[in-house]
Amino acid sequence: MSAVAELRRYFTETKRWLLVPVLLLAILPLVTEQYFLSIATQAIILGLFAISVDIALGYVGLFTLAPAAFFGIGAYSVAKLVVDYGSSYWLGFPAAIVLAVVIAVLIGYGPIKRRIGLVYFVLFTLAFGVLVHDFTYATTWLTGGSNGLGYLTAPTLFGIDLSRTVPYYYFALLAVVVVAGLLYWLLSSDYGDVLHATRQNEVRMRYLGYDTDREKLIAWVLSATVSSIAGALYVATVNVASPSLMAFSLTGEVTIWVVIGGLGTFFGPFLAAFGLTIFESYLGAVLPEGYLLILGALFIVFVFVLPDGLVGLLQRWRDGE
Amino acid sequence: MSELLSVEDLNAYYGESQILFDVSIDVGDNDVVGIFGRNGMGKTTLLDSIVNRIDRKTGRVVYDGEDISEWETHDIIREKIAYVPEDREIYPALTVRENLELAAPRTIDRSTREERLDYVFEKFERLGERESQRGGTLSGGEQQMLAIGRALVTDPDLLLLDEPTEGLAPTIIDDVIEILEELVTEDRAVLIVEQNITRMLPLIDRGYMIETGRIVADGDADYLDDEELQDEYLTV
Amino acid sequence: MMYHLPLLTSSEFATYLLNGISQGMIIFLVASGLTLIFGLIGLINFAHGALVALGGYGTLLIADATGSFWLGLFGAIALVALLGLVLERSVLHRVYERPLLGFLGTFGMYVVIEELISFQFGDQARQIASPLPGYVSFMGATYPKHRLLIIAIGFAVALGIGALLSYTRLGMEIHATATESETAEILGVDSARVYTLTFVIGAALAALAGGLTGPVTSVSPGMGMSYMILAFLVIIVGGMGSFKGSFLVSLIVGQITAFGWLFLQPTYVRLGVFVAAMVFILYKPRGFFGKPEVFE
Repeated sequence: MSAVAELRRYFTETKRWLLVPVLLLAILPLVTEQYFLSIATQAIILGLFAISVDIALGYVGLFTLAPAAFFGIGAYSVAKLVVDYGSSYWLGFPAAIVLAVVIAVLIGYGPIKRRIGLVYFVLFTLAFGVLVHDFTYATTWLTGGSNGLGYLTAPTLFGIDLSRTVPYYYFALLAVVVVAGLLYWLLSSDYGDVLHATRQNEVRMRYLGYDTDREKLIAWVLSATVSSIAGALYVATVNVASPSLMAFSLTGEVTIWVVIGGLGTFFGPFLAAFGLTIFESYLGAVLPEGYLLILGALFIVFVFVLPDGLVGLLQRWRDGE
Repeated sequence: MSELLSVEDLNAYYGESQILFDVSIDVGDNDVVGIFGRNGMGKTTLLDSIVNRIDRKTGRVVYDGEDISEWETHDIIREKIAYVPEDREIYPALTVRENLELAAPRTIDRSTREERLDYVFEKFERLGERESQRGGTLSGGEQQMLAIGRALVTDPDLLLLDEPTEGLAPTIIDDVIEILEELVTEDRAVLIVEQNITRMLPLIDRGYMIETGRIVADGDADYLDDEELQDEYLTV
Repeated sequence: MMYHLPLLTSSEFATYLLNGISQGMIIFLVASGLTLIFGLIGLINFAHGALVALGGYGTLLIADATGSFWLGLFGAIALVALLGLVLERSVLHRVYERPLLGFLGTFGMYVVIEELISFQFGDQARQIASPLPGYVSFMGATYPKHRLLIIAIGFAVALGIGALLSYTRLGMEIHATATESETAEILGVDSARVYTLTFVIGAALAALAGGLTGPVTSVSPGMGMSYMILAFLVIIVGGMGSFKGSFLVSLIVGQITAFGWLFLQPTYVRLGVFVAAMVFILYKPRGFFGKPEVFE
């Protein structure tokens, strides 16, 4: 076996290759300027958001149009506690998680238990997503309406001022790596296999004695909760929780990232979200209105020509096709 | 003999599983041909392959000198091939008249269409009485008549019938046979798929026996009227 | 948030009623194309909202160039129908068997078209001059003529499409293909052609909605999307694929939004409509008029 093949096996089979991107992200602050780093902070958080959506969309085939709603719920949980109640930033995270779990169960239980079809699920979550957005807009007394809730920054922890760019970058990176790592561990376990098998042949899984409704509901709640955590992490980077954080366009963007990255591939959506967010900031300087246009065109190409996404493309390339 | 339809070395598949193996049959002008075999032997698949209503197939289907094996179903039908499927496939929400009008070719004018509808209503009086009733309200026998009627409004040169007597009460079967007797004397070729060989033998010129997707015997009606042969390939 | 229930004068009542009808007609015009495509193909055509906006901008541009609103409207309808033809024939017809890809694909088209419009014309709303400016007096109220025009055309479209579906050969073929396309094929119906025609009609209806409502709602890149969500809900409550259902429910939703203002802020009325739609999806997914045999 050649050395290259040996090396490849060493990395692919043991997943040790994962250390490479994490290390690269870890040394990023040493080689870039502040402005880029603040974009990169948002990009890794949005990468986590994309992973969370991939759990519902890619792993169990629950086509949701409500991810932005849960992202926003996370962001507003933190902002509400800090801005309106003056309580601790850190309390925002458990609040975001609890609120997301409760709302996800309330919203997801009915459609999943009643096994409404794909089309109905899409429309149901669309209605919910728009509902949450409009509600946020309308209830000024609760959410600040169109002004949102601000201004907030991350606090000081162990003497480190997280409101500064570099510390918050590392904080976000650590949080994303921990949450994504836990998710990855969970999805690599038997539970992940059950989800994949459920998506491929739900009836067979039921005959085999699995409560597929329960598995799907758990995945749905997990997805919503991680979306909410991503939102909670994100809000300190923009300092204000505003309705745009739960707008339909964000749902659109994250859906596009997940498809371009590759449905059900975990790393693909992260990569696409990260890369395209960085791309957006660069393009913004040259062609401010072109980002969504390019994103949409790219998306159409992926849907009709490369439905397996980036990861599928890489796999085909690796398999020498 | 001039062949209207010839199926050559047909292999047909549903998904991964192969249903037909190297099947070849011929139907001449005005020929009445039967395909006999037990359930699940590939009889319906054969008809589905002729009208290209199947996932995948190899081999050739030649009709009137043209290779139609890659044609789309509706284009095949428009060449005056009519297909009466096994489960009738009546549109339940459309009326009897609408079901018939739908089957009438777009190319014929209104008066020709009305003539053909009248012809069907004459042949099947019960359909005439129920002209504006919805298809879903008809009995099994009436639905079978409507399915045959839908085929007749196209004035087909080749009529494909899939188990026309299946699932019908014995008295209704007699009615259907009576109609078939009339149909086979008219100026067209007929290909009938059936399990019920005894009732069909008087109608057909020739026939094939099919088992597990292969043609295992063929001959004229006299040849097929053989107890041993029927026991081997038909008796359940 | 709660207001007192005011006593309505007859002229106020007439204004609310007409507002409700014209609002309902606008929703119906958007929903009609969606419901045709959805009912037949089972495709959630997200690009529909973008086609509505294209219809609006097409009408605006051609009307500006020629000075004729009607020329603008019909020109826009023709162009958008042509675009529908191209989209359907090039890619969409390939994904009918795969609803997820169909949805994603049309979603991408929506993004691209809307961004192209915004790229070219900017995001600010623009006004189309009405061919029927001015007001009429009605039960003591004055009412914009163009809104009456929308009501008239809405009714005409409802009757026209209803007649097309019930009394024409194409209507019969659409029904047959929607119910069971394989059976339609063995009756000689070219189901691919039926799909294409239906998609083109749906696109034309989208353009009609965009151009016709332009003078009262103004045109902006996102104009279609704001109606799309209401239109989707109308389709659900009316019963997927039921033309009659979307017409009636559009009118009901129009009246609810018009008279709802008396009791609640408009946003809360909207929220109520969304909640109602979610309840419907869960407990009565075929709506009031959905046909079970068609949309399983």
